[in-house]
Amino acid sequence: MIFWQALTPVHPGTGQDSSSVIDLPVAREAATGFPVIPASSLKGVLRDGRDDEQSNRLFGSLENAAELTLTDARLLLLPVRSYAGTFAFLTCPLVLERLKRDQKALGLPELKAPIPNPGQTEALVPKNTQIVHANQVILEDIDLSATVGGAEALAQELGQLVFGAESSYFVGRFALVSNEVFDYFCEMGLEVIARVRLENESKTVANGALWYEEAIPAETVFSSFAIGNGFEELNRPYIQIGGQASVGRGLLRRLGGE
Amino acid sequence: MPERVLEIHALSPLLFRDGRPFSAADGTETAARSLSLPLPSTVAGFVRTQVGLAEGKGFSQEHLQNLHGLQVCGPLLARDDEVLLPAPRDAVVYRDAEGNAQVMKLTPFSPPAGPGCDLPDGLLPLQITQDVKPESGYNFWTARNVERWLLDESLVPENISGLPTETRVHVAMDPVKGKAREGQLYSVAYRPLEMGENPQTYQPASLRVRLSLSNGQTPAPIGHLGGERRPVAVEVKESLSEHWFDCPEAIKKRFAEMGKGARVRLVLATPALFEHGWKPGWIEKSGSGELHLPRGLCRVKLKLVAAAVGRREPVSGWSLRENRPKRVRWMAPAGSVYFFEVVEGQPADLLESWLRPISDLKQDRKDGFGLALWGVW
Repeated sequence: MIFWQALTPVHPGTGQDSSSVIDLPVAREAATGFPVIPASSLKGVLRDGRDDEQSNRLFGSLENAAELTLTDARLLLLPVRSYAGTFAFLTCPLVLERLKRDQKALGLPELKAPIPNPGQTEALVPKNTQIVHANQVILEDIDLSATVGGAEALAQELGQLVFGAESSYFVGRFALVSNEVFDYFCEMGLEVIARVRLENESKTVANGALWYEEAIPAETVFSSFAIGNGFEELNRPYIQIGGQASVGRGLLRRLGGE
Repeated sequence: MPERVLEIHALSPLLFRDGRPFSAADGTETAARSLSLPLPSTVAGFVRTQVGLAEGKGFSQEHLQNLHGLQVCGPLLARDDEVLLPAPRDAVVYRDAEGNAQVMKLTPFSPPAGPGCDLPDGLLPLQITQDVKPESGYNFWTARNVERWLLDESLVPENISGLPTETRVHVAMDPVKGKAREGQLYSVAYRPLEMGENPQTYQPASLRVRLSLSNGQTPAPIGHLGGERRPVAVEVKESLSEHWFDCPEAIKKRFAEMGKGARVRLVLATPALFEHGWKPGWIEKSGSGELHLPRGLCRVKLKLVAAAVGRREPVSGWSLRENRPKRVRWMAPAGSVYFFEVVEGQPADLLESWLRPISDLKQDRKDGFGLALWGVW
């Protein structure tokens, strides 16, 4: 199990027209609508053009199947602007239940803390929280009533699992919200970046050269699994993934994992 | 050897390729499409591989022969803990004038004297009682609804279209330029083993197969199913009935009450391979006591009255053992319905093949082609 944290916004593009106001949307899972980094992107970056015997063995070639299998990097923690504590790390029961199901299927130790089910207007936070203001967790334009201590065990366990020594940075910002609220922020809470291209001479925007890009915000944490041989290939502190690299998108750092 | 149910979970969206050519090169078909469910032979091969890996004896010719003989029944799609089955093709779902979903039941009928039809072997046509446009999306029915339908009850099923499609566009990056390579652009439609469109409608799904494993034998828990080596996990379920669709008591009871002349209906839960294309080759031999017929059919003589069969579907693949493509054969699709009259024997004997394969060839049966559901009409 590997965790990746976005240091800059990530743009795993779809290569497809979104038929909405956003010109360049990010990839999303069909059954949940959550943003996702496809396994093929991870694998391509880890391989990065190598064609030697070892990488052919690990990552596959036309003659042989790969020894290393990666799964999609799924959304685990989504950062959302908070009135108190700058931003909150959100997750929801569905995300954690899927993680638990995959851990069980792969024979890995499962999340032990119970996964409570927050109400639609509720945010469960640990005791030692920074994101509560007047008994509320105020996220973008949604105000949720805070249940302090409601996600204590979960915050501690996730903190150790994902952030290790940096756990307190995470615990202070952690909030468990309902699937509906999480879905809302996955839909509406991603970064939308407007970009233009300037005319060289006049320094005005070129005609028609305005577009909107979607990006998964910095600080987001993804979880993925690697199966087989060649785990040392994953031992990299940083990788760059997805599109728009030249404007700084897609820098990830590796966190924890076993 | 005790029978078990294996539950297959996907760790990433899966790809079950159809037979269309596909390549990333310029000027060819650059979209890989996925079947709605893997073919029975794909899943049978996967399960045998997992069993072989767990045994750790390697894949020698002799060992392969043994594995090849392992009977695998499936796959069935399950949503949470509920088995879903392909919609029977004698049910037409449509919307009435008020916009409510209705079901039209197709039944054999004898045309009045005068008009005729050119169906082979004196088969009867199926009667359409309403001139309607079929509704889309009703591709899978819950096991409970299928049971009611097989008992000839009227019902309106839930709209379950099946596994969603996740289309991803792939490029090959040029490591020097940092851009996509010219002509290396293709798209792949995957099938996640999850249903729904958002967290509110989300439900996990799995594929299930039934097979006999000797005591202590367990398949390797992690493997790759379908195209692109997408990872899946396999779980052995000890309690059979909870995870499989056993023949319901109501159907057993109805069949026990019937005798000669009974009208029975066969619905295919997985696609079937027959010698005569759409038509089961065992119809003539049924009830003859001949060996090597599908279970239950050697004692009951059946007469085919009518059929509701979908468009034929191809099955091919690559034989790893012979290192060459397999020839294309044509399947009768899942959900096809055959209407029979019992000429001789006890109809209840037919239930021996409940969710067991009834294809013509023995190996196709071992691969799980043509799992049978029985009902009345």
